[in-house]
Amino acid sequence: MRFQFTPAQEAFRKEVVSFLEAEKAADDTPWKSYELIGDASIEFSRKLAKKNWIGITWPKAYGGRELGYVDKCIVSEEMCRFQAPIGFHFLGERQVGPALIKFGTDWQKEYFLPRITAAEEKSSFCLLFSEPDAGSDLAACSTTAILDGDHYIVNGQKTWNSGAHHANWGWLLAKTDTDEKTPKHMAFSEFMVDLTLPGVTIKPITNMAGEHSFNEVFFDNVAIHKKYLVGKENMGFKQIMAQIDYERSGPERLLQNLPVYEQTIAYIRKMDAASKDPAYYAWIRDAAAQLEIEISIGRLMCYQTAWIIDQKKPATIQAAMGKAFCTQVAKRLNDVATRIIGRTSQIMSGSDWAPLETDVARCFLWGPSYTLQGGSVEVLKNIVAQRGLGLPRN
Amino acid sequence: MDFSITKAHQLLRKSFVDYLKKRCDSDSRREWMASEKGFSQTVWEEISELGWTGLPFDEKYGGLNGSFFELFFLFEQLGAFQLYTPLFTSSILTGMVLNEAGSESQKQFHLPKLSDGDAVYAAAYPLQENDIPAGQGVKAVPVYDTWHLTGTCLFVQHAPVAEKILVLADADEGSAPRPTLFLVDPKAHGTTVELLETLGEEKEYAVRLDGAIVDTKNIIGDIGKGQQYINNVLPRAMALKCAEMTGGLQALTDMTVAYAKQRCQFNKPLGALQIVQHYCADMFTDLEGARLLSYQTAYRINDGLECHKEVAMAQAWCSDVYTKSSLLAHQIFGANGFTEEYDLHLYTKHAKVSELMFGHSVFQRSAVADSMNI
Repeated sequence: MRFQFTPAQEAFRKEVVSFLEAEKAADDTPWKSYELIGDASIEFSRKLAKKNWIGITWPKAYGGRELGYVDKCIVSEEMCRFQAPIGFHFLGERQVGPALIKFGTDWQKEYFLPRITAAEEKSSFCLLFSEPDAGSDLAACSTTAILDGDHYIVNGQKTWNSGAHHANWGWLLAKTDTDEKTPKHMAFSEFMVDLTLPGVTIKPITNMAGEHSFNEVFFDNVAIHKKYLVGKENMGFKQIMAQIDYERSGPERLLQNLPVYEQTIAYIRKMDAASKDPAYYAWIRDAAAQLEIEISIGRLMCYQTAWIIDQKKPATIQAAMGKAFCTQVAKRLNDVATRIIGRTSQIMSGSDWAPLETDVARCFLWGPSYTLQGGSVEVLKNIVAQRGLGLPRN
Repeated sequence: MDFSITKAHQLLRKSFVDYLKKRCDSDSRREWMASEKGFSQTVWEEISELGWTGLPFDEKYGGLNGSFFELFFLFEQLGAFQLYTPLFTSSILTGMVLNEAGSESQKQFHLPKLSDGDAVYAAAYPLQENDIPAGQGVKAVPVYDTWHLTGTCLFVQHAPVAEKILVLADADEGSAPRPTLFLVDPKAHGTTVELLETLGEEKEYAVRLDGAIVDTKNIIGDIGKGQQYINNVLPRAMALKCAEMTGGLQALTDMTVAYAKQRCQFNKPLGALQIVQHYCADMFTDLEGARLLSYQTAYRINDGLECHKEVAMAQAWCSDVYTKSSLLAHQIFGANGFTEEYDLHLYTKHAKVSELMFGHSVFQRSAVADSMNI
């Protein structure tokens, strides 16, 4: 047992922090990537690529460094602290790379992995999973991909596709076996789809924070060459289940609003406690300490999941549990922060009256999405109960 | 980061579990709890023989000089099996303070007895503000070469069988308080021990001192430094209580999940209902949080690192979720859980008693806030 990082990891974190401090100071555009993939900057991703900090867990042959997931957690944590614009490579690194390493063909690995780690042009990905009638019930997807010669012809509609408007590629789940008698989990396949192909239409959706973060993506007879099929035909669902621990393991889910936390604590320290109602101030201390405790547990859960993955052991339960816990903390953080700060917390950043450098008001508005995206808290608790505790599936 | 438990510690833990499994069946445990002393003398002798009582002490005092991890894993299992003995009050609350504050000759005299379990010593110093009734704080007045102690301390475990009771008293010679440790002989004049009727199963007593006479040689440590010595030991005592709570939570969660699988209503197990699944998932998640925070504290103590914030975080979380989970478990066990026959109530009671022992989560979060400089 060791609840500390190695000296090498501490040094690595320092290196990442100094890099981010310098980059942030040099950038004219404020960093505000509090929705994980909101801020995409190929220039910034290129700089990380030069440092060899994208895909650090991947094989060296594909541009990786063969470091552990704990190391990757350290990078992710600092990216969150600085709200760095990581959107360009974020999903390619988190989702696409690990899936290709596990299921991809040699060609796919050789083509895509080095491009992602180098943040080359046209290497940005988005996910194309959910559909209007298939949210938590992903097996209800109806988008089809029917093989015709060397191409799969795709028809249907995807939705809630974050970053699709600046991505080059989509990671698509589509039905390749349309026989109604086929069990649903044996009917889907995964593809990589070039979003510039004819027949792909991307329409923006404005979220409740007033931002264009996600999209609807329509497929009208889009022809995808079969070399872009990932893994085995009709095994897409199982493949997704095998990849999902990686998606759920990172600390981004907990720390996407880390600056709100750090700046709220700094705000409390600057308060004139003597002028405050003692009951209010006592509550502030209590609420801040509770957040500290929950964030500490969340961090330990993330690092524990990463450590389990590094041990090459299944992390499904810990990953699901950690994500459920962390997203609830992240949402509650913004809610509690608004009460600690009080009425001025509703003022969006940019105003002279905004209480923090970061945007607590906007983060609060983003909150409801945290406990839904990538598997709702309820679905995750089902996984913990059924697969972790062995309770019966209905 | 390394979340694994070493092979040696796994084996040690298995040896604790093997003994407790064999010895702590539900019927025997109930018989011991109902007995006058509230514990089994035979078990006490057996665990002393196994070396559990001597784990915290150096070999020169007859101890095993165990690592903090070893103690931690022991208390985790004591919590899981709900075995009540004088171990916590005698070897930890009293023994560790004696070890911290006593002179070499005092240590040589007292610690071997505690190591071997030949004697039980009880701790009667306040663990939090409620332990001393208002206006009845213990005062010590010097009379020739003795001190006379008057006052009350509540929630003293195993006081009737104690050969000595460690008391914190204000050595009142001037204006400023001078908290000082005294080792009181309860058989001597002026000490009364009274059983408290509490909601818990582990017996707790009020110790009243009315001019109890203590020889100067039974002052432990320097006059005026008593609270400091206690404060030096408290993080370890609290961490071991966290271990006990974590073990209790684990057992509570296990028994609740097992019950949800086996109990059928509407022609299916309760555990097939999504709301019950989510209750269980919540208990499991809270348990994981308890484990991570208390193991982190144990790690820091074991490695001699600063741990005040970590121990307060662990106490706050463990004590909150232990009570919360026990009440949630009752919702799943239904009326069965409300009976004496089922074991669930042992955990509910242990949770509440443990939660309040060192000051509940509001006090602990205040300590966390202090560590955060707010």
